[in-house]
Parts: sequence; C-alpha cells; structure tokens
Amino acid sequence: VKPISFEEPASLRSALDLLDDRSRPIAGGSDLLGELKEGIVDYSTLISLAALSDMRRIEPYEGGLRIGALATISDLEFSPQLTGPYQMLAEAARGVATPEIRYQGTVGGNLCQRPRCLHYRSALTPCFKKGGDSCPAVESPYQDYLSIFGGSRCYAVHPSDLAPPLIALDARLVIAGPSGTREVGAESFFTGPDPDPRRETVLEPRELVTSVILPPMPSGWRGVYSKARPRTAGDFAIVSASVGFELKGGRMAGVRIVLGSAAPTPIRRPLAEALLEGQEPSEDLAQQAAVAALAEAQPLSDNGFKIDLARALISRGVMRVASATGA
Amino acid sequence: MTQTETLIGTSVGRIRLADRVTGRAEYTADLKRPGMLYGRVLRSPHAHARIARIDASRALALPGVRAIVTYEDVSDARIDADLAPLDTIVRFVGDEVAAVAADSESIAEDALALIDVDYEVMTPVFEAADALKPDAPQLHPNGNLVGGSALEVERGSVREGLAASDRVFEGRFHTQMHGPVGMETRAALAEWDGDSVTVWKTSRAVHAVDRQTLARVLGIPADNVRVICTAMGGGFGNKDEGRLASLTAMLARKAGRPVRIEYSRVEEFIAGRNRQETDIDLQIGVAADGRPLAIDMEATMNAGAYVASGMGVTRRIGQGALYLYTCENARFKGMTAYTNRPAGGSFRGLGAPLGHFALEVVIDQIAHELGIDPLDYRLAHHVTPAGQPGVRKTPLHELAPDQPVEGGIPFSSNALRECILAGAERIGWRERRQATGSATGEVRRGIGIALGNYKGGGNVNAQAEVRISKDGRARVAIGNVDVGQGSETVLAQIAAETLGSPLAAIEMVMADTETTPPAHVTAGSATTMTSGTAVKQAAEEALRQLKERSAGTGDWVGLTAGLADDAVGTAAITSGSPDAIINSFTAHFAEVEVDTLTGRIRVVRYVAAHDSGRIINPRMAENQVSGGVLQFLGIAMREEMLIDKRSGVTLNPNFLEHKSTSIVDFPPVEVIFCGDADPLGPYGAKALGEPPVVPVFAAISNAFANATGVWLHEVPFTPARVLAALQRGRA
Repeated sequence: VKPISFEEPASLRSALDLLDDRSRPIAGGSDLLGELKEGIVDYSTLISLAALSDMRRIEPYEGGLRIGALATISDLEFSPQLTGPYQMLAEAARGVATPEIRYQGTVGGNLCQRPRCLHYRSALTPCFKKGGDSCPAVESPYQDYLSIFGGSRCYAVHPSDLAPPLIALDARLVIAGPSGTREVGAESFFTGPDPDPRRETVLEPRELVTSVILPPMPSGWRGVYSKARPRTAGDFAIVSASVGFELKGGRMAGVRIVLGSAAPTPIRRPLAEALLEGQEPSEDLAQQAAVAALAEAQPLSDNGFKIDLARALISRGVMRVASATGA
Repeated sequence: MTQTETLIGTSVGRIRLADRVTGRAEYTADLKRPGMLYGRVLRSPHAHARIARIDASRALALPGVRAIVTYEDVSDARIDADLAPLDTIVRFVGDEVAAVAADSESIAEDALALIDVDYEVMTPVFEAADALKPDAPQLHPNGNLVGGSALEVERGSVREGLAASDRVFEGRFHTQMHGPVGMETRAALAEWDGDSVTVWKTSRAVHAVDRQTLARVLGIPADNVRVICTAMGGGFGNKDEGRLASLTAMLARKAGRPVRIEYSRVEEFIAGRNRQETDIDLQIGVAADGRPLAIDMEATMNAGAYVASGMGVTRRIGQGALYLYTCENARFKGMTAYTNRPAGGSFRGLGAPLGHFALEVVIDQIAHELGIDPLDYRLAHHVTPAGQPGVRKTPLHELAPDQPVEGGIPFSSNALRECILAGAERIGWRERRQATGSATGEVRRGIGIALGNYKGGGNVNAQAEVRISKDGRARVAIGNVDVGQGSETVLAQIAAETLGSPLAAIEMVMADTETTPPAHVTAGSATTMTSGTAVKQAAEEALRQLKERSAGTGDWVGLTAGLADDAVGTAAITSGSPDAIINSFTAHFAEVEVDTLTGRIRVVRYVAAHDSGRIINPRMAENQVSGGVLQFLGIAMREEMLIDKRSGVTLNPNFLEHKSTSIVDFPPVEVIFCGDADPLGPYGAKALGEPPVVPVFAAISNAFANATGVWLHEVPFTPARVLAALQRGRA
C-alpha cells in the first residue's frame, strides 16, 4: 500500500469539505482497504467517518425506520427494531461475509462497495472499470460475478446483500453533498456501467450516504432474502433473491421480487411481481413467477447456471414468504 | 526391567502440541538474527518474456537497501534441471526476476518498484494440449514435453485384453489446478559465517534436497551448509523448494548480514507449488461376467513453468489403474507438459487421487451397466493379497517395487476386503442404498463407494541414532521433518516401546543437518515405515549396549544410572523386501444430498475404512484420515486457481476466491482401521499420510450418481457442472 494521508473530521460538514476526486471516505474499510492493497484504486487521502457517531443510529422515523449509514452490518443483524416487514433486512445482514466483517462493515459501505469481478480485482488485468479499454472478463470462463441481464462494456454485478431487500422495502437513501442533501430511491441509486463503467452509483465524489429511510410497511408484509454462494459462510452472492408480500384475504399483495448479483444493478422483476399480485400462493405459481423473472435473461458463455439458481431462489422464496405470512 | 504398558496403539498426546497451540513454537518466519535484513522478491508481470536488461541502480540508491540479486549474480549451477536460481527468461506471471534485502520489509517492497527491467515479451502457452503441439512456444531448451517422452508402463497387453473383451467402457476426466494452502507461507532465513551458511526454512527435506541444492547453487561444499526446520505450519507434501532459500542465501552473502524472506499469501499461491491441472482418458474392457480384461489409462498433466518433483506426480496417476483390480493387462501412459502457468509440484497423494477418480467412477459405471451392485463388483474383482497375475520381472534378490507394474509378487499385507466390508456395514450399504437413479424430488440422497491403494514407504533409505545417557534420557536423532503429520510423536513412541523407557525419557532431535544423520524427503507417506524401522533398529542396538554395559539393575532408571558412557545405537536401513509389495489400502463411503435446483452437493456422512497395518497412535491416525478427507472434499467441491487465459495472471490468489472449504461445510468423518500388523513395518505399521485423500473425488461422484443417475467427470463439482450434468442426464 502506498503512503496515504488520513483525516479524522469531527463533523459531517468538515468531512464533506475534505472530500474530492482524490479522497475517499472510510468507515469499516473492509472493501476499501482490500482495493488499496491490491493496487486497483489510488487515493491520496482517506477521510475517516469514525467521529460521526450520530450516523450509527437506528431509530423510528415517519412511521418507519431511519438507519444511519454508519450502522454496522451486525447492528442490523441484532437490531430489535428490524422486526415484521423489516426482518428480511436482518436476514440479509446475517448473510454478509463473516462475523468479523459484519462487526466492521457499515450500511453505507455495503451499498458503496465495489464489484467482485475477478478481473476488476486484479491490478494486472486492465478493464473498463479500472479505466482501461477492454473487458477481459466477458471472454473468460470466470463469470460467476458477471451479469445474466446484459451490460455495457462492463458486465460486473453489484455485490451488495443489503441493496436488494432495501429495494424490496422501497427504501430511500439520504445523500449529503456540498449543496445540501438529496434523497434517492434505493433502486435508482445504482446506475450500472452507463454512462461511466468506472462507477456503479449516482453518488458524486463529494457526496456521502448519510442514512437509509425505510418507509412504513403493511404490518402483515413479510420478506425473505436468499443467497446462492459457494460456501455457507464468508462468500459473496453468486445470485440472490429478495421476495416479499402480504396476504390479503389469502391473496398476495405488495409483491416484490428483487434479484441481486444478477445484473449490473440489483433489479426488480415487475413481470413476475404482477404474475403473483392478487393471486393465492401455490408451488405452481411460484415456479411460474420464477420463470417469468428470468425470461429476459441473457447469460454470457459461462454463467447460464445463474438462471437456474435465481429461479430456485425465487420459487422457494415465494413459498417461504407464504408460510411466514401464514398461508 | 519390567514394562507395564505398551506404547504402541496408545493415543499419547502429540509432542510439543502445547507450544503449537499457544504460539510458543517458533516457525521460520518467527526467527530473528542480530542485524537481520528483510528480503522481497520482484516478480514478472508477463507470462513469457526475455529479460534484456535489469538496471537496479535506482533501487540500490534508496536508503536502507543493502543488496540486490539478479540473473547477473548467479552461476551455471541449477536448483533443478529446469530451474536456475534466477534466469533471463521468465515463464509465468509471478516468476522470480530479482530479490532485494533492506532494513525493513517496506523499504524492500518500495525498492522493487525502482528496479528497471526491460522485457522482450514472448508468446505464452497455458494449456497442456496446446503446449504439446509442434508449433507451440517452447519454454525450455528440450521442448515442452517433460523428459522428452511420455512415461509408459504396461503389464500384459491391453491391446489383446481389449480385443478379447465383451464390452469396453470409457471415460474422460478432468481435475483442476489448485493451491495446497498450508497455513504457514514459505519462509527462509540465511546467515553466513565466513564461507559457511546456516539456513532456517520451511522444508520437507533438509538433508536430501535443501543442503545439496544450496551447496550447488552457492558453490560451497555441502559440509558448509547447515539447514534447519524449526517447525512446519502445514507441509501436505508440497513445500518443494523453488528459489526462495537460494535467493535468501545469495542476498545474505552479498549484504554480509542475515536475511529473511517470508512469502505473502499471494506469493504462496502463485510462487509456491500447485496441484497440476490434469486430463485423463480411461478404457476398461470386461468379460461378459464383468471381469476386467484390460485397463488402459492415459493422462496429460499441465506442469506449469517448472517441474518441482520430477515425474513422480504423473507416475502416481496410474497407481490404481495398474494395481487396484485383478487384471492381466494394464497400461498407464502419462505426459507432462510445460506451460506458462505457475509451477506445479508435489502435493498430498501426488497423482493418485486424480487417477483413482477416473478408475473408480468407470468401475462404478461398469457395475451399473451390468446390473451388478457396485459393492459386489468390487468385492469380486479387487486386488487380493496375492497381488496381480503375471510373471515377476524384478530379479528375485532385489526389493519388490512398491508402485509395481508387473504381476507375480504378493503384498506384504492387504486388508482391502476387510475395509470394504467394514465400511459398507457402517454406512448401511445393504439396507439404506437405493437403486441408482431411482430417487425423485428436488433434493435427493445417494450413497457411493470408492477404493484406493497407495505405495507404502518401501525402497527408501533411512538412518537413525539413539543415544542413552546415564541421566535416564534417550536422545533420538533423525533427519526427517515433522511436516505436521506427527512423525515426531510416532517415532518417539517407537523408540520408547523398543527401549522399554517412559515416553518422557525420549528427546527427539529432528530436521537439522548438523545434529541428525542423513534422511530421505518427508514424502510418499514413508516416514513411519522407513524412519520408524531405523529408529527401532537403532534403539535395539542402544538397548543391547545398555544391558551389556550397565552396572545397574532393575527398571529403566536403575539400568541407565549404571552407565559409565552413553550407549549409542545407530542404524542405516533400506525399507522393503524382495518378497512382497508394501501398499496401504482404503475403502471410502460417502452419503450426499443433491439439490437438483441449485446444483449444490452436501456431504452428509463420510466413512473412511483404512488398512495401514497396525496403528501406532489411534487418535493422531484418525485425525490424519479425517483431515485428509476434509482437505479433499474442499478440493472436490470448489477449490481452484483461476488463470486468465489471455495474460496468464492468477486471478484469485487469496482465501476469499480460492474457496477452500471452511469448517461449517464439512461433515463428520467416521474412521475405521482394518487389518493386522504388517510383517515388514515397524511394529506392523504401514503408510497413512496420503491414503486418506486417494478415493475422495470418486466417492463423491459415485454417491452423486446414486442420487441422480449421472456421474460427475470434472473436479471441482461446481453448481454449474452439477446442473449441466443433471441436464445431460435428463436429455
């Protein structure tokens, strides 16, 4: 790791003042330090957010919850407030990495982490995401972390475990910048490789995610998060599925199906959601929804198996929610 | 002297275990010498290139940099036939280019970036099949086929056997390149005193390899080289020497100060020595009743840039094909190809787990096709204590080969049948196993079997010295390295048992060329059989002297107190016998659960039955078996080194993406020991270190087939491969 300067601002304001193209905020550091160590990013200054303890709170907010961006993954995992509809977020948190990393990593960091594409993560293989002029991954057989829903120059998927359930919960991200704060829907926070394959989100270099707002949900709404990964512990998702709905008179309502690690951004599957909406849950329907969710998939040469995985996660997810909602 | 309790077959605690688990044990990277410098290695960013020029002047000008070595500092002496200490050709991404010694590791690291190297990039080749084509880029002067020709051995005539066969079954198999992932990374520390050098290092052969190699490379007599291995953090047959110790010693000589180099985890992956990617074709011809008439195996191994262990790894691929089933005609052909990948080397089991994978899957398929229970098929045709049919070719007075080709020589002992029967009973084969392919539903269970035979440590030279002193201590000097397998404890048990002394009286001295007699490589699961025999004989001689010369009487304390001078027994032996082949045997049984929607295989139960003769230390032996099984379940399921096909860059040199299995995903392993004392082994012991890894891939593939009706032919068994196999099965 090259020498790098380290700032510890006492307030959000001074943290924002320090941010620029050559600096990077650091909270848990579990992804950033790896990137620096591998030599795939180059920043001159790290701006520690450690002093901004206000940003770690999880609290009631407008009938829902507000989660500070510095809340750790394990804060979510063990929070007594993530009950009912919000349980799925705790379940997703439990699926992140290992206990050590969950104690260190934060919500904001999880949403802003960089892709796991093996070629992106190797300093010796130039690629679009590192500012190069080709993609070595798309022609390689190592495509577990690549999209099955197309791409644009870069095909790397976003690895966040928290983003898909946040999208299912209609969460909004609060972003602070030089000219004040703005709110962005969790789904539109992620941009994919267009227009710039070097970044994955709408976050500007001088901005910070400060909190996540979970709107109120119908009390009977339940969601589940399922993650396909090589090993039971420690791994990033090959693909994940967040499925949720409530039962109204035995029929599914407020259906959300979101795939993670399947496309450059976490994606909702509106056709599959519509197929379930207003219907009674059944194995058959769950499988139809799974097929519909992947109907538009365009796998690369070596990741077609992710379609099978995603279908299994969705169909089983629907049945798990059905039993959780008492169907 | 009375002996109240036998130590053989007793689970005494591992010697120095408390030191290891409390952090007191000193591994090479823990050692420090006064004035010691820290070294780092500059590695090639190209898979294949010629170094036109190296200019290290900017690096040398960096304050704190004390010495740099490049190809200009080396003589013609070589580490191996294909490996110079440093070279003007680099052959893989990560190949050594230069080394720096500095006051700190970070200064040394900074200096690497200041070494200017002009590379003339050449075309690389990464696949074995491509490397063996006539127009392929050549890595070494004698071509890409290691040794210049295929290794080919045959018993009888497979051509005739296949012609006489009623049916011929065949299969094509693939196994991956992966890292051995010892917990300790490689390290070396060198300190000169005049023209003599002491080198502390991770090692599996301080005498047989390191001392000789260093003497040659450094241009000094072997007597001037002392090599010590203080403790090993995982050997797994893998810590073959590359360039590390030579570069460390060269730097120390140039700097005039001690130098230590410790590999990072990334370096351990790319510049250690890896298991080679291998392709195997197998044909088995059978008579109408299923009896094997010909077994014909051909393998191609991708050796990477250098061959660290010669052709031994390739040779072992054929061990099962040549000897596991009674068959008059058997042939093995192995080709080993240089490519521009990180170098391969020896790793636990050598080629045997790869060859057994192919053999035991095709045997399972034969039984299935013929409508015979695969357990019954194996009971009918496994090799018996009589060995293979045919005429002995080894002259009668010479030691029998322990990886034999010829027939006509019996085994010293062979309890394979007992292993099969005991394992089958434990897993409930007759009661619980369904017909292959009959399971239905999304998640299906299946039970599979696979057998193994393994060379047992014959034909190896070993020496030992046992010195009894009047204070009641017995010092056992043996030059081997305890690579983690526990040989220090087992050899101490053998010594104490032979002497009739308490175990606490034994002081083990190992892995130091100055204080121990010459020893073989810790390899081939040979230590208990060979060094154990040497220790036993040396102890017998020392005991004879003790009894003869002691003025004392009574028990061990009384006898030794009566000694005027030390009683010293030495032994130099060659293990083996002209009359018998020494092999260990194993039968493994796996029960798996296959999720047919996600392609995930979960091993729910694993039974490993082993004939390793008499077991000296049951608890350590059980750990050895379960450790080996778990290690290879991880390799079976996921572990792999991924090489970028365009650049040759290793894309996953880390624990996150190499996917070594963690403990939560392992099943319990039930271990059964079968068979009696081997007549040739010390106290009846045979080899155990490697046999547990031999049948694992096939046991999983066969259990998978019992669950789903299709066999897996490619390791690792990833979800992508599982789902593709299920798709083929449905088609």
